[in-house]
Amino acid sequence: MSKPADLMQGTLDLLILKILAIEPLHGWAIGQRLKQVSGDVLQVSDGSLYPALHKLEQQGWITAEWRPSENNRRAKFYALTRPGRRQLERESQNWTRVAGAITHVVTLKET
Amino acid sequence: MAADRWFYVLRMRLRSIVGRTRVDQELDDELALHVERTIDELVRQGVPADEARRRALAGLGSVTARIEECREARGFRWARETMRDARIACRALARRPGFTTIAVTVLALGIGSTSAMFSVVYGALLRPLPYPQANRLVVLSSIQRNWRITGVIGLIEAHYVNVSAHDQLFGSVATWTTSRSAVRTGGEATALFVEHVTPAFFSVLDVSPALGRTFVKDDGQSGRDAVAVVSDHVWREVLGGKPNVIGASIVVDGKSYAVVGVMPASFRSPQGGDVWVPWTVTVDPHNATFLPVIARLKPGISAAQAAAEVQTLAPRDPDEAESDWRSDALPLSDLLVGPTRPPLLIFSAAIGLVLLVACANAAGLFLARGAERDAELRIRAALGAGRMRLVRHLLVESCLVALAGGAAGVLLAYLAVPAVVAAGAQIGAIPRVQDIHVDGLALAFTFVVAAAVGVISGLAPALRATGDLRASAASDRTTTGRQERLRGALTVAEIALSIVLLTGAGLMIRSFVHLEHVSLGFRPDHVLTATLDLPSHYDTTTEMHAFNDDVLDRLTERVETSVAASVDSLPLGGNWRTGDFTLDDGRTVPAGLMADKPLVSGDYFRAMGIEVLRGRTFTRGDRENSPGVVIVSQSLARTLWPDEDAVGQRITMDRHEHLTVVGVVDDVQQKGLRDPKSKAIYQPYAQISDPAWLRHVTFVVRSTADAAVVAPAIRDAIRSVDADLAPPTVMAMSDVIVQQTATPRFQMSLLVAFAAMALALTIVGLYGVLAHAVSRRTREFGVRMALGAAPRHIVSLVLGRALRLTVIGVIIGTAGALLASRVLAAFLFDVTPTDPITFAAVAVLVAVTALAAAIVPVRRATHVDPTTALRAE
Repeated sequence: MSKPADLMQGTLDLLILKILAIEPLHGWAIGQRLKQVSGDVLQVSDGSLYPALHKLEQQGWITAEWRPSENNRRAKFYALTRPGRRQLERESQNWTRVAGAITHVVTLKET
Repeated sequence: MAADRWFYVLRMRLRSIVGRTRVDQELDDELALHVERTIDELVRQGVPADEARRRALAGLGSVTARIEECREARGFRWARETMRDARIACRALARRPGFTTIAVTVLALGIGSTSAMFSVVYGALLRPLPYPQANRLVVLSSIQRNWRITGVIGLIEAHYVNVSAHDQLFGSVATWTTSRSAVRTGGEATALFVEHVTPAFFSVLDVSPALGRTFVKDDGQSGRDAVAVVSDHVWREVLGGKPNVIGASIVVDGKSYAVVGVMPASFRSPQGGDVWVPWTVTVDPHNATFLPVIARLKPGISAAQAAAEVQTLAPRDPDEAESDWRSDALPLSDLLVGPTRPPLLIFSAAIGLVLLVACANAAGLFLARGAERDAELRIRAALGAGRMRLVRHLLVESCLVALAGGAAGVLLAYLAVPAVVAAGAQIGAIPRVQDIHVDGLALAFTFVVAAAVGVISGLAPALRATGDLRASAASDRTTTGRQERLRGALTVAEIALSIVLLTGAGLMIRSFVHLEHVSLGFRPDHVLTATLDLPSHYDTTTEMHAFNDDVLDRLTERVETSVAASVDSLPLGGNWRTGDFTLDDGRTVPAGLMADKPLVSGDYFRAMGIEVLRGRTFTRGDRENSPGVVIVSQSLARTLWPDEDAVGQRITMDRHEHLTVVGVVDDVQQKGLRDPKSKAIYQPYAQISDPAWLRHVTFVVRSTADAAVVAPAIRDAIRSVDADLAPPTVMAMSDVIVQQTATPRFQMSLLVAFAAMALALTIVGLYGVLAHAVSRRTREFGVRMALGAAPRHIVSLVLGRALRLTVIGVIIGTAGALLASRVLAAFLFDVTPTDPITFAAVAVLVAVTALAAAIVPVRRATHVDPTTALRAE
């Protein structure tokens, strides 16, 4: 917990991987989808989305392909790779564990 | 990290290096699209266009910063730094041409020979055969368990007939026999390789003809037209390459066939035929021959299942169990590779050792180079370069050297492979030569090896050089001391590896010398041989005897001062017939005693120079209807009649009863030089009643005249008796023997070459260590001499180090060689893998060359001028 920025970074990665596990999307659509499925609670800043995508691509978790988007402009679609899917499983298990633990701690009765 | 992830990561890294502009362009496009979509969305929500644009851009913050972050995430910095390291390393290497040349040469030798060996082994052993779904093709083999034969044997005729009647259980089968036959289309006959194949042959291989058709089920049955399929080569060279060739006639061994098909140029039959004619397998109750059998397995059937089917179909005597047979379905390549696999694997291992020596050598060079750059590295460390950064810098340099070595090595392989393959193929030591090329795969292999070599040979020196850069200059001496020790260890490793290789080569040399000096039992000088197979239109022994007598008469007439004879199985000619016999006096032959049974004409012993020890030789008086006679070899006579005269004894064998021994001759090396001399029973040619045994014949002519005159005379004599025969294979008897020693000679030469390479590299390495030590200690030597040390003290300082390294290397190497040399056991003749003479000779050779390498450094050390040396600092 000494580096909150890392935690945030890691969380964003996890969210991106999960979104892409459902279907391949381009950058703008990833942001929209995230906002939509989280009921506007999670809103990723446009500024941090793209570096995160490029880093994930560099790490081999996701792969990119240029193809026509819904309004016929060529867009860069990101998709999960097989190693990426495994990584997602690991990370989401990890997240559930940590989140459960944190919930447990913050809901301790103060007597 | 999982292997499949590496694939993505490497691809991305590569893009970051080579596709930078493209990646930048894509980044721009991606962000532009984002801005555009955000504006659209905002406008849709009712925000005015200007305001929407402002908000979209604000959302991203600074676009340039975002781009920079993305580039950072893509590892551009890593790529940029590596490129910069490479540029610096290139300049640094160019400034030291001496070091660069030596290091590149050393690695080129190691990597080049490795990639050459890779090309050979891959082509000969691993490359898929050029047939569709070649992995479904197997060779079937089945023998009785108690026959101690190894390798791919095949099926006997009766077994093949059973299997082909039930092959639908597992696939389809085909077989063939080969002959070297006279093929004529009008004019002169040419000798070609004809394969007599069962009709399914081409469909099993799954190949289609370029023109016409291949064989159908009934081809080859009596009553059908005689048809033939020819290779692209025969079509072009013999038949003129015309497209209307279908239906043309071609005469094979005097019989006319209609050409029905031409195979494509890319087609190669497994054993390389030129002409194919259909054939039907028939079973002879008295004789069995093994046929090569290929099968294409049905989908879903494994080789083991096919072998099990073949096993149940084995023909058996009533008292035999099924388990008396052993059936196998082996990859088709086993048929072609056969006994050449183990030596190729040994050569690969030897080359691996050479590569290790080269690596150790290069590591020594890099180590010296790292020491040289100590000052530079210290400055960079002081300016804040991390250790990993410096190690990477040094590794980039060693990798560059290794890649340059790899490039030169590929060139070396490209030149060496065809020569070695040609030499090896000629004597059958390398199979599948058409499949051996230095191709893209070999390039990729070389690239990987070179990169690995760069890292392996560069890593230890790089870690060493960057070890304690931040320590004070006072620790200088211990640092260089450790460097010296590491270099010493590398030299010891080189010496040890060389010893292993030299021992292998030495054992092969000793073995070869023994092989060359085996006593033959005959005199090969001035003997020419002419071998031929009588075609099927000779079908009675009377015709064959007449042919034989005619040829011998003409040979004696036409060739000056000659003795001519015939034999069915020439000594060392790769042909022999072995069998049992009984004694007429009622005693039993010792269990397991078999005799070779050559058939010879009267003057054979005189022509071959085999000494007649007792009794007489055969004469023209020993005819078909005269009493049966035999001549036995000395060792057989001694075994059977130790205390009596062999002449006059009687034996019975095959279909010939009560044969009288009329003579005893010297033992002859019949089968191979490594085999014991054969116990032989010679029978006169004229008394043989089975035409099958007379079909293969060799005429032996001893003449003092020049071989260049005798050889054509022999051909003429044979042609004058029967002009339709394929020209015989004429060879000097001495060349027949050379054929026997050619493979061991080839194997020996390769191992000697590898060992010589390793030794040369080792000497260079040792010289480097000593020279470097001397130049580093120039000042010390100067001081010592100024204080009164005699030159011999200095000599003993330098020589002592050389000796220490050599002795340790020799000890370790000899131990290694003792462990490793047993893999050669199967290739050695009359030498044990632990032959003390070889081991001692190798140790002495290495010690002497090591001392020779020390001469120049020692001279330099003793010629140090104290005054210059002291001023030098």
